Amino acid sequence: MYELSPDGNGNYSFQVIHIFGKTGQSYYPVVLDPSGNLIGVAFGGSADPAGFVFKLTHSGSAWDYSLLHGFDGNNGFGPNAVMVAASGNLFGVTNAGGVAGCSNDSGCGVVFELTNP
Amino acid sequence: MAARGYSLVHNRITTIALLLISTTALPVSAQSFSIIHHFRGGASAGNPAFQLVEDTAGNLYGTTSWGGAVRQCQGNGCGGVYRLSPNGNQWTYTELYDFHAAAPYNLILDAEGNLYGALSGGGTYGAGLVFELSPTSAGPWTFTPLYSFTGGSDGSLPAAVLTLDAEGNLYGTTRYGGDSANLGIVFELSPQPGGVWTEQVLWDFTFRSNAGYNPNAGVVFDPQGNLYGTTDQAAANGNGTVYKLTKGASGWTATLLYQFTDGTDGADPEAPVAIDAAGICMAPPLREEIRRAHLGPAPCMSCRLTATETIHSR
Repeated sequence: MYELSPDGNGNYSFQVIHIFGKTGQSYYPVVLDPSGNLIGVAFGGSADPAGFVFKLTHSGSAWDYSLLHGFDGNNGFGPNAVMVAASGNLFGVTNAGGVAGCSNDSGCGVVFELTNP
Repeated sequence: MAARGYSLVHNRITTIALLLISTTALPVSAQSFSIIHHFRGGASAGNPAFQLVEDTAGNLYGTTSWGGAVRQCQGNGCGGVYRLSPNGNQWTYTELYDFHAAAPYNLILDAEGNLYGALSGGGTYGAGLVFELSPTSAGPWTFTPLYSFTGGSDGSLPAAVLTLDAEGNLYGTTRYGGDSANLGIVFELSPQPGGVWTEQVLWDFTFRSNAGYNPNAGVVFDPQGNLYGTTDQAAANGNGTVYKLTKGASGWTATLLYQFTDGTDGADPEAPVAIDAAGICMAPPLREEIRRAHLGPAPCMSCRLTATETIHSR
């Protein structure tokens, strides 16, 4: 995960702020919550192969990583980008999963809410 | 389409046994997770996609990439637009519109509660269109096609979320089309008296420009009125760029801000940038094969986004 910052002279510096290992892909944008934390989703990996929601909290010059929620298929499969509602809660969708016996290309999926993220 | 994409991604991930390595990952238990709506397949819309948008009343709006009343789009339906309305401790689900030619990308809302989006397909010429969905007092939402791309110099196949300015103009990109080499454009759509919308091509991507080409993401404004976006390709190495469009006396000019190297910095950005007070943060780049297998460009609806490094799968 990285950031491009202007240096004031018309140029931009590139900084990696978090590295996922050879993990599930993270291809949706992360969002800032009202406290300045970065929240995003990723897909795959051994622990939560159906995807997960993570948070990066700014700590000095570093960003601390934490897992907010892991999907197991029964509660959704493949989260898309989340959004921060006016209430501060997170809302998002999974593109599949959530219904037993419903294959990934059969029109399933869920809308989820994460409170107190 | 989307769900098949997930299957491909899942199979790919399974096959190559990718593992998450994060030494600082800690579960957080303070928050609670709940499912506020299940899509169950069948005749209804399904496979929700992209990012939700919220209106001032707390209603959520989203799109699906599957289902709907018309069984087109490879027999699975083309998806639609739905609303989830808070109702005490419950959420009321309403399907607002079903599409007939292509699945919608994610939506934006204006101050009056109208929704705008793009279809990468369909329209008068089959090259995609920009639409508006408007609430009515009678209940059903009104679908209005605002502009159909011809597939020529005006662009072909919009593939990203739109941007709205204070005057009600819409901005976006098409992945293909344009005068130069069918490498995509940045466009502005402006409402005219009588309900007609006219298009202006702000930038026509070329091989010669170092700003890149074939955008998969939309554009966003900074406070000075400059536009920023990303491209999937670049003349120098094919790994994509971040570009800036500046308006001058003779029109808009694109300049290169960053060119990906396909090294530790990733490659093939797929999502738009967003501007914060400190600078530009980016959404995740994707490798092309992952993008094709997935849903396409990611949205950018919030104040600040940061990029996720591309994970190389081979």
